[in-house]
Amino acid sequence: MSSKKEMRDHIIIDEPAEFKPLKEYFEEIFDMYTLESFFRDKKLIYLENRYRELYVVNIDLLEYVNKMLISRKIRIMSLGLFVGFIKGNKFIPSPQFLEELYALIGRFRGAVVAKEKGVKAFLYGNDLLYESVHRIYKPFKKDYIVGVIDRSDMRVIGVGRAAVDLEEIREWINKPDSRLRPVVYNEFDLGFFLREQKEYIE
Amino acid sequence: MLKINYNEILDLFETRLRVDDNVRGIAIRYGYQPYMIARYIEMLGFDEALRLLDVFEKKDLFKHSIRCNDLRCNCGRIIDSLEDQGFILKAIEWARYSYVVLEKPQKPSIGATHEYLKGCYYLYRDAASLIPIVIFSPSPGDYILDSCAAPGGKTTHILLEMRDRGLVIANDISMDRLVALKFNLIRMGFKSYVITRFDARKTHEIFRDEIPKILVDAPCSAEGAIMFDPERKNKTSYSALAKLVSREIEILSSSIEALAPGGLIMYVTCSIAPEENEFVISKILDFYRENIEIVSPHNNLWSKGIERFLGYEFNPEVQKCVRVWPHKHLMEGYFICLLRKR
Repeated sequence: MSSKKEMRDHIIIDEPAEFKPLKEYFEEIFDMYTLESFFRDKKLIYLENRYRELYVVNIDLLEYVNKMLISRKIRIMSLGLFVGFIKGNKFIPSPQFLEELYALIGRFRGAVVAKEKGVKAFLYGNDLLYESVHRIYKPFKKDYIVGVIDRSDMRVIGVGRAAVDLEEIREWINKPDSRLRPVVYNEFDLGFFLREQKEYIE
Repeated sequence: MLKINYNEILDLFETRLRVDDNVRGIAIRYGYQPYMIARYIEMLGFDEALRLLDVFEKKDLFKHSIRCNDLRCNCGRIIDSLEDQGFILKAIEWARYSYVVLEKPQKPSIGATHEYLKGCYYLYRDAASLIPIVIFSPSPGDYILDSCAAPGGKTTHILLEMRDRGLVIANDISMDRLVALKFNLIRMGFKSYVITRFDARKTHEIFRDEIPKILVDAPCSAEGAIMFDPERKNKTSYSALAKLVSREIEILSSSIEALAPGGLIMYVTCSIAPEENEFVISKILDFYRENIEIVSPHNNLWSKGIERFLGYEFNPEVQKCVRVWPHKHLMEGYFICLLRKR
């Protein structure tokens, strides 16, 4: 991580391409050009709340936030697009961030399209099993962090860790005893928000 | 900065309350504290007060509402999908991309559909929560402070109206509620916000004459939401109500000090108590005199503010504020007042 400025509880990362977990993720799934394209005119913000969270904000917005809040010692709880979080040394992207990236490059990368039953299970925090896999987009290797997509509308519903290599999955075709094998271990899904928060309806 | 001690508020109103045997009888029948019944009769007359009490008993009359996230989802498809799952929705005429949930299936609940998790809509207890932002009418590029923002129903509505362009400072003091606010903003995929945590009574210590628009959705007695939470019938003593009023005045006054000249400030409560509403606004108008004025909403489809209560004459300008009555409008009780700093 280079040229970071500490400001109370958050850190502004001026060069996202040099932030190791993010760099490693982009090298595996996308490429550095995509990373640099996405973060043009934007800054990465590292916030340590309950999780080690990452956000992205436009430079204009950040300047304003800096002038109005940070310089006045106001604590920032979160800001801008939630990009993901750091688990161990790995970057876990948020579904919202993945959707932005897929839109930016115009296709899916490192993702699994799930059938209805798998979508439901994944949104409850469960792993995605082989019987619920509709399609896999490369790159897909064991331990890669991949997106999980709902086949019904092609929206990202979560993120997980690939349980196996793509080559191994190919060997499962036509093997009934393989259908309950996990393909993606759940790392984060949209149901998390519902499971974690107290219910406040206004 | 205006501050009023709660004892002063208590002395002003409590001594004027008439709690007779009739009031006590109704209070016992409906399970309320007598002071509340006496106030409803004072505001509405006997027959209408009973209609209000009857409606507060009928939670089923009040329906959840949703505001579709048209920035991220195709609202037509979302409504079709919800209807395929057994929900029956009706578009709200006065709020775009908003719907009342008339009927729902046994499963899933409207707060647990895949569409909800994907951030395609925000769920409200009922449609009244949509009124403040409809009146406030934020525009793309606005800079708004939402000083008591959690759990985020009005913040998300503001961001949708702003097309997620500009900046919303979404602030709250409660850590638990801030988590809910954060999750809602993340779930719906917004970018143009910052979440902060400070005491809204100290807003003027941070900002001075500089915020163009402020929403004060004040922490209140929730006396307009008794149908959803019957414990409210006995939760707030008159003395506790007076303390809430004192805090509401402090928050609104502090926010006015932070507001830029020419800026707009919206004061909102989910309470039908005149002490928390017209009284607060009257005191603010008296204190700031020519520096603050009420702006008539361009679309008051509901009721006007009341002019007098327990013999106390409010500033007549409070008629320009908006009241939502549960028994008249079949929505949670709300008070909304738009003010401009000259």
